[in-house]
Amino acid sequence: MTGAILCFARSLSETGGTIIALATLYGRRMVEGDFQTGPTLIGLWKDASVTDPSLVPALSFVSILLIILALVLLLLLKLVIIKVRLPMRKVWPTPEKLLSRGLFPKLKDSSAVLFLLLIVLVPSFFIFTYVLTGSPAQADWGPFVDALVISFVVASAVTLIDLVTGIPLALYIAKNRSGRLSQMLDVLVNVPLIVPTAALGFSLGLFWSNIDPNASAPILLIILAHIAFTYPLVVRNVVGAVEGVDPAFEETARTLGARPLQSFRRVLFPMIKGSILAGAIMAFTRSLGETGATLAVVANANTAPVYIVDLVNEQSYYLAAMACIILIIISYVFMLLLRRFTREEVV
Amino acid sequence: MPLVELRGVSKRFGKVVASSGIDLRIEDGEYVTILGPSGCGKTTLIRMIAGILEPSEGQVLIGGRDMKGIPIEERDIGYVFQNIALFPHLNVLENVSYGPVVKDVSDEERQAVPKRYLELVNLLDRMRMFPSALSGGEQQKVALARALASGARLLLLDEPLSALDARVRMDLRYELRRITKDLGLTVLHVTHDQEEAMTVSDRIVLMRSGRIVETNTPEMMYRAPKELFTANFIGETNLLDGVVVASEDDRTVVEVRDGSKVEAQPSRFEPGDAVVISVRPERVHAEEKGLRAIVRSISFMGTYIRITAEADSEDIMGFDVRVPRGRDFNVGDNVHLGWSKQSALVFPRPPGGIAEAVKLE
Amino acid sequence: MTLRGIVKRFSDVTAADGLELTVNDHEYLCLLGPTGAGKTTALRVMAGLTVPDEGTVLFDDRDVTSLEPEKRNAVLLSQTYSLFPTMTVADNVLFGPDIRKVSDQDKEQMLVSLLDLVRLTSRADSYPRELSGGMQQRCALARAIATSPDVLLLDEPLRALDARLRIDLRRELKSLAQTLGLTVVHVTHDQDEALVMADRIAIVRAGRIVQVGTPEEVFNEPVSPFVANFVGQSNFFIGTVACSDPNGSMVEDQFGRRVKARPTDVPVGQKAVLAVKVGHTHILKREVAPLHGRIERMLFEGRVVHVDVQIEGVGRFSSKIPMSYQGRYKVGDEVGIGWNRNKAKVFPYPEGGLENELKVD
Repeated sequence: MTGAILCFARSLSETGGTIIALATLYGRRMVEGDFQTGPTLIGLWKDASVTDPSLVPALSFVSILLIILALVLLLLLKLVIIKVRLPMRKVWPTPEKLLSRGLFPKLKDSSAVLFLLLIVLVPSFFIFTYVLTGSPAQADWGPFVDALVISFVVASAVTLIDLVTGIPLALYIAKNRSGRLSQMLDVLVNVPLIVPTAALGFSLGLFWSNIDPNASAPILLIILAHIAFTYPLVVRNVVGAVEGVDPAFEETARTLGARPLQSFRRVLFPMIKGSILAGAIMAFTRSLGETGATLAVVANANTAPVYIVDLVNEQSYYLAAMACIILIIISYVFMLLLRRFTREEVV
Repeated sequence: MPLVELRGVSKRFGKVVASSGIDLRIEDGEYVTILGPSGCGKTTLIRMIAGILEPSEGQVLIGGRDMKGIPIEERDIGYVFQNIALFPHLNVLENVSYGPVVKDVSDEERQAVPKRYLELVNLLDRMRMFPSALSGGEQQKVALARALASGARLLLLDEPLSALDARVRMDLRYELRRITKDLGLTVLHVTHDQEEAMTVSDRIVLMRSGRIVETNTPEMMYRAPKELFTANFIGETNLLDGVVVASEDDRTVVEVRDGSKVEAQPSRFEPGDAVVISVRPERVHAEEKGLRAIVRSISFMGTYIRITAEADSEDIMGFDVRVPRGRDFNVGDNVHLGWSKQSALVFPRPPGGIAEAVKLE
Repeated sequence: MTLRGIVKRFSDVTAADGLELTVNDHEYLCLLGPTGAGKTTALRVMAGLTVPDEGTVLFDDRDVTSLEPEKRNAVLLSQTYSLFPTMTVADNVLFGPDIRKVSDQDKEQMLVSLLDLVRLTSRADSYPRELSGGMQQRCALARAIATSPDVLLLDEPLRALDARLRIDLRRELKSLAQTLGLTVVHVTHDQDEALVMADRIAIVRAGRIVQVGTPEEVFNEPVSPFVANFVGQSNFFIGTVACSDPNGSMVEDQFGRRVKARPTDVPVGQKAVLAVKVGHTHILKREVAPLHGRIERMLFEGRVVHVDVQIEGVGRFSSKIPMSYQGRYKVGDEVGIGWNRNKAKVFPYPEGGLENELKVD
């Protein structure tokens, strides 16, 4: 059920990928009449609102609607989980036996692999064929490198802040499982994961523009927006890791004379290091790839994904493809690191 | 025809050899215990019989049929796990009914059979309760009923009592044997507890490091073990290093480390052979003359007193006295220990030394 | 260490219900009781990991009830040893001294002598996952001892080990404690373990201490039928007190059968239950015995054979006979049951019934 909720929410809030896919399909920049999803509409209106402020209320309405929809969904699904009981009593021995042996498991396995290949992997890596259509020397890499640097700076700042603020909260939640406050926090922390990032970004943008109308530091705004939906990733990972550790370890450490901070530093932390790193990597790559929130908060932001969107809108497909490939490679490297660190935690 | 037969069975996990060269026959209706220290391969063995693991070499036959390639659910066995493994989301009755339901028996059987087995273990009144509400012993009884209700002829018990309190274990082990004997089942019971094995089994199969050391009735394993490991693992015993001095018709005379001579059962050893003497504490007595030793500790064991003494030969000897006599001894006293020649067994001295040969880990 | 009036409630369970206990310096005290009796809670209260709802904890004369664990110098050794998995054996053992900023030189010396004491010198650089169960336990002990604790709290330290290993390690553990003059509180559910190891035993049941005494006292002078049956199994005879004087008493059942016991305070005419240990119950010739019945079952236990005799109108009486006597009897024989009157104790019949009183699960 949790998996289902996350899938649904992620799809609901996806902006960058949708915009680029559609723009590439049409062969031009998206306009109002086109096929829209919620987040792309927000993106479009946000762009337009820079010149036409009257769009802001409509924008707000759509964002609010999306947020409420997401929360209602979360609630509904949580309630449904409790009620659902698979029909345990009915048994169909003959068909079930047939399905368990021989051809069927092989069919099941191979179609799963086929699906992965055709629908996920091949399209994702098709882009590498673009390497052949042009040559790197011709391109002007300057702006891309700038955008990449900004993205990295944002992602690093976001991850750092997430860790510093997230770990203490995660520790609190994990160690006070029975407390009301911690249970509430646990649920609240997960909300940004469900809510569409574009809506979140817009809301944040409005909030901060009231405080600082001149938008003196757009990069700060982007960082703040990204923190909102990467923070849960760190907290979830750390909470999960801490709960997986037998409390007896720290208790023993304390009876041996270690104060709570010492027991954390020497006993617990080494045991959850891998998960902390995993959370950090997830937060970093998420921020690196985020489009919707970035656009919603600062209309002409200059992060790598936004740059790629612009490229696609201008039909500079070769450049866009190269930029994507570089991003993919970077993400892949991080993913490998992630797997390495999480695997080490077989204690 | 034996119900279960293993021929030359071996199991390797990568480079680790979990079992090797296992030959075993279990007759219909036998209650056999597979006994041994942790890591000896007993759980691997029972899993190969169940079909959870496939042997690397050799054959597993049940009812005369080679079980190669035959999945677990078709082997007609009941399995009880060490960690009980009751389905937490089903109540007691539903747990026990699982076997009949999956086998798609008739409606009336599905109603009657589980209740019958719950009654057998005296838990019919807990029918509607969930596993988390039951005590450890009760949960294990439900697990047993569940295994029995599947109607299997062969029951595999994987350390079924290890997770329970000592007292609960004692009560439950008699029940296990009684119920399965009444039902005429064949049982393979895996355990590391030799006391448990001795009490419930028709036959014990003792394992170590993936091999079968010895198999016999509990009494024979206790009174006349053929291997040194058996003598030490089953029950308690005193072990003494020595060299045979004389081998006669009615006794073997052995010289121990400090030069003293002690007697043992007649054996096939020749003078000069390096041997180990095994004599159980309840057979050793403080007498006028015998092996000289100094009392090191006195332990109250309830209905007898265990006195531990260090002999001149540096062997540690334990002997038992009745409770009132315990007062006659004090730590530091000199005693002379002796035993009837029938009480002591002679084994060849293992090349790596006694400690290595009886090591448990 | 003194615990006074400790009460601790968890949502629906009262783990401690007015617990009172005193532990003397250099004493090896065993907290014995069935699972769920509250032994672990008591231990945690001593360690400071659980703060009681009511009551006080005193170390010497200092009130430490709400003192944090790290300031108490009472080290807890958990059932699963909790060796820090990311540290080597050496780092684990020196954890306490490290925290206390002991000098490198002293730490070095301490490590060498401790590892030597627990025989882990060759494993100083191993990680916990590379050690066997027995080795892990010894490492955990060394770690606990390294801080020179005022009191060592052991939570079922031998439970995770094989039965055979337990017996060997009991002696090691006790002798270690004695050599170092440690004060130890050892929690267990295994009465054999408690009898062998403890200087004193405290029996816990339902959050209260029911009896405290030396092993002999607790075994021979139980204060209730529960203790009589929990520490060494007992046979029970239900009836009313027929007569009582300074020499002894007699209990008579509904069929007019009379059996002898020690002098008792239970008034004549009151419903009572007589308890006599299985180890003190003897099989006699029918004619001379106060009770007789049929041998229902004989169970081989190694040094002795456990005999169950079914006595009509009374129930099952158990006895142990030496293995050598086994041939004299067989299942189905009519035999007599008797005991020395000084070994039998009379208790008022428990409210709630005998079965309830004896329940351990």
